[in-house]
Amino acid sequence: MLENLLQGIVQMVTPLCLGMTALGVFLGVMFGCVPGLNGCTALVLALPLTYKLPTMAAFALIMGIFIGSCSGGLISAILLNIPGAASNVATAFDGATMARKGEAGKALGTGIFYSFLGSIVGFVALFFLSGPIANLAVTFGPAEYFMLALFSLTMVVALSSRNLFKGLTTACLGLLCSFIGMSQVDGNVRMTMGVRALEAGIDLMPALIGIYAVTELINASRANDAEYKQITSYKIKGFGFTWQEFKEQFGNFVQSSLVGTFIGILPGIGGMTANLVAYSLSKSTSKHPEKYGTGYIGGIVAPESANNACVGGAMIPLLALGIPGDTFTAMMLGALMIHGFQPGPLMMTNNADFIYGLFVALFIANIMTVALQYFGIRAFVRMLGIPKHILLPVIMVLSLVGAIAVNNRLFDAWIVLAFGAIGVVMTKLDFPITPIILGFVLGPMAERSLRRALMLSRGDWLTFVQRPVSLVLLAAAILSLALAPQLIKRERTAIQDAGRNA
Amino acid sequence: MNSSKRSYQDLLAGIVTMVMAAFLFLITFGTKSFTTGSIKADTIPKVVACAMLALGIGIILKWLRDGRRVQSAEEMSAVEQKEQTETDPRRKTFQKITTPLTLAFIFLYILAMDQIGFILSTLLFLTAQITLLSTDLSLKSVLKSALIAAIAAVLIFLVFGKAFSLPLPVNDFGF
Repeated sequence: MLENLLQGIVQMVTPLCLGMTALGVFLGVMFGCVPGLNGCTALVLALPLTYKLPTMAAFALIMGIFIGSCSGGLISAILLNIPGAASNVATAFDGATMARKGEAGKALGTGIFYSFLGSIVGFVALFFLSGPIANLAVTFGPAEYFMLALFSLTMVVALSSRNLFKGLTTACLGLLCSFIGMSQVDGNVRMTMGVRALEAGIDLMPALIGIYAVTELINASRANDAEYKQITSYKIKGFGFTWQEFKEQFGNFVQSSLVGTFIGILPGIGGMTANLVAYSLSKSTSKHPEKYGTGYIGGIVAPESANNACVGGAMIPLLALGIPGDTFTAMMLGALMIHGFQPGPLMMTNNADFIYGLFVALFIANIMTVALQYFGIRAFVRMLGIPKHILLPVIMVLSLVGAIAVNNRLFDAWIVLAFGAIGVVMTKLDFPITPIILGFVLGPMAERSLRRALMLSRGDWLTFVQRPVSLVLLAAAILSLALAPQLIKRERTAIQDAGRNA
Repeated sequence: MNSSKRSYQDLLAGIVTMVMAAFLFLITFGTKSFTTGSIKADTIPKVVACAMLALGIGIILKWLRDGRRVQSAEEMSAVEQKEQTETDPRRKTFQKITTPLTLAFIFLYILAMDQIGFILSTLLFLTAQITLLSTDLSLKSVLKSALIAAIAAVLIFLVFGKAFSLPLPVNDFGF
């Protein structure tokens, strides 16, 4: 292992590879922080370049884009309350609130630092445990995936403790919107009302942009200017948090990173689920759930550790089994094959020097991402010195450009508007809007897995309790629901106490 | 505080939920199913729509149980709190019209993008939206907004449409 690692370092530490990693990180961060644009868009643009580069330099560029884009989304989530990517939705809950309180620098510093630490946890899992973890991932059948989706859906409770009925309603709305289009199991078209463009379904990014960007544009127009002027504070010491806060958040970080790594290794789930589940779990297990959503550091630590730990996790099934976990790793699989590799169990032994070079590239990309973002904090926050009546409409245009770029069709801009209107109505009626996203993300997985599991068991529902992992996940879902009233009561009591003391 | 409006918010939320659930339930009926088995393509959407309908009823029952009480400041959304604390009358008027106008501007922008191309539609949208949010309708301010809009529209088109080759809508003149 050590010999391979040294060979990997020798391959990677060249001016060309380091330069390509830096270029990839820069592209990734820039594309990641614009809502709608993401690492996949950046990779599509960079792919022609990778064909002409030596293999290691090409993958240094790809790894840079991958890591940079995963972290870049936190910038707009914190500074604009518009997540740059679906995997940064939960970061906005506390990050944007902290920024509004004049702690934008601290929020960004915390997000950047824990993104880095989360990546390192994913990296360690990839480096030392890829074989056994990959084998565990393939034991997950439809029954386990369904139970995992069900367990994740119970997290709606933690996201909507102010009014559970309303939280569940928006989760149902998200689920129903995700069902529009072609059914994944049998290809039947449903709920399209005769609109052909809807047959392909609704993509997550336009929905996300609509709910967050349009709602934020409208909310900002109602707010007082003074609230937005406070945001330009960027003076921070170190990464903005204290040693005491680091110690307090250590357990939260470990828990969230493990959640992220675990979700990352399961193909087809990804960082968007990881960050919401980690946030909800962190809130549920915290001694101070009432602090979440009010600009609490723990609300940034959890999602940022989880979504970056997902990256290392997502690489495990790709390299060890040749199974891509998401769109980016699917494109990476294509790039590997173009460069003459055959991802799968034999790749780890046949191309060990390249694999270790890839690990080194991943590590260097992490270091470069944290450096670029840390030294860029001042510039990022200064961007908010632009008056909001100019900044937000321009962000809206960029978001629409991002939405159109997702599927190269103008129809997605209409989806942005439709979800924007839904977001405005929901906010006006005091519905929590995050459960829509959770329902939207988990809906297809839950339905597909449920139907497949029942097809495999010939309609026998007992399949969900006969498989050990499925049973454990079912028990976790029931436990989560059983503890929900206690969590809600605890949070409400704490809010009332805070109100009395104020 | 506008107590009559506040106390009926949850009733309205319940009604909106039920209407949406009924609509979504109805549109599941056009689904053609070619598969056998207990769960067809429209089964789960129907179940979720029914659950949503039940939740709408639950929201209304909760509203009835709580006796149409007025929400406390802690329970109010951040947007509503901002609206309540606004004192500038001009700003207050703008707050009332910005939501429908912003949505209308986005609607017209998307519509126009396909007809007159990205640059011109973006120029018009940004000018209108920046003017609306700045709450300053003087000619000088509108011209300033138009200048900023023109620079932003051209820059975004050059960076994303040309440099990154994203397929932005164009008119017959290629912009």
